[in-house]
Amino acid sequence: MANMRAIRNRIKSIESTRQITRSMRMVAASKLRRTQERWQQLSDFSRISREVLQKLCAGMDGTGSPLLKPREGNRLCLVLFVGNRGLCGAYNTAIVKAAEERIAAAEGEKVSLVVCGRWGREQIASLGRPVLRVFDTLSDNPTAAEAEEIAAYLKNLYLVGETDRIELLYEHYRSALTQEPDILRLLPMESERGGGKLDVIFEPDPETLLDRLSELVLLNTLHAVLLEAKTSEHTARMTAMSAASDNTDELIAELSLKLNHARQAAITTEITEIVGGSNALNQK
Amino acid sequence: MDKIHLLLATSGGETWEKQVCAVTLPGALGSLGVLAGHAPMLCALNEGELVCHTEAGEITRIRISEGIANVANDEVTLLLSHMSVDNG
Repeated sequence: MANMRAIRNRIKSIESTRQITRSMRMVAASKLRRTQERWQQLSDFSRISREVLQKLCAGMDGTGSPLLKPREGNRLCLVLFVGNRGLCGAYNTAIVKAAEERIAAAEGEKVSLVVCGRWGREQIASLGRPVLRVFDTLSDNPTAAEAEEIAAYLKNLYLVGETDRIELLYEHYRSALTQEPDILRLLPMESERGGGKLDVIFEPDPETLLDRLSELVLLNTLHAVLLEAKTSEHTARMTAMSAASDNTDELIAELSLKLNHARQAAITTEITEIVGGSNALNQK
Repeated sequence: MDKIHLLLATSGGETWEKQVCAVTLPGALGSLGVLAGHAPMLCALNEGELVCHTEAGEITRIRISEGIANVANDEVTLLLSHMSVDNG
């Protein structure tokens, strides 16, 4: 009887867990839809700015924006995009693992870190590299203002000469089933130089235009990466919570079977006792 | 009257587009009017107000941030960080 009560309590507690994991899955699904929509909205700007950048670079005959000019130094700033919390499978740990690999590959380079997200201060500290700044107030659906704050900080870091290269390490969203860590060089920006000079009027001059455009591209790239990382995080959380809900279903089915066995055993024992008692009475 | 396709896009993903007859831009070297058939041009924009006129005589004013305008083939594309549309 005590055993049956323990099983019932366990089932009850697992049912509560299932309720939580199901709710979390639904919340993640709703956040995913919103984030993914906003991420896709950025694609127009990215496409047009790439075309214009190409046009501008064709019109340039030497120096460009300081954000495009490559540098000789060996200081690398790695920007890690982690989640604000756990319960999203291997999402966060995959970023830390990829950071470890990147740091190991950057022999002879002074690597510093900037973190976007609240998760895992200890895990990130264990990478043994100085953390220049943590952006720990980012929302689950990052806005343009949040992207602007990070972009301004990183641009300043680069322009004052604190670092010679900035790379973004984030979870790339391949599909709803696959997300994997990826590295994107933010600064200096990559541009396709050369090509024939186009018959275009530049007002006031290509340098000023390139300065303006590179700042906008920086902002757009950072916002897109923030949204892509969040899309991956919400997908990972949805998958993890879906798997957790499935596991609770299995566990409940298993425990229900155990409960039925125990109940059946109790009934059988009771019947045996009654039959045994009645036989004993008949023999008297 | 020939028309131009005006498209505004912000780095945050906002877009706004319309077929217009003429558009006045706050260029870095001063106010700049663009009509259909304008030569290809890349132009730096200051923060200010963009005014566009449609064939029906409708006027739309849009507050824009600094950015750049790409004029080519009767298409005017503005790349900006912010904008706010005011119909009136």
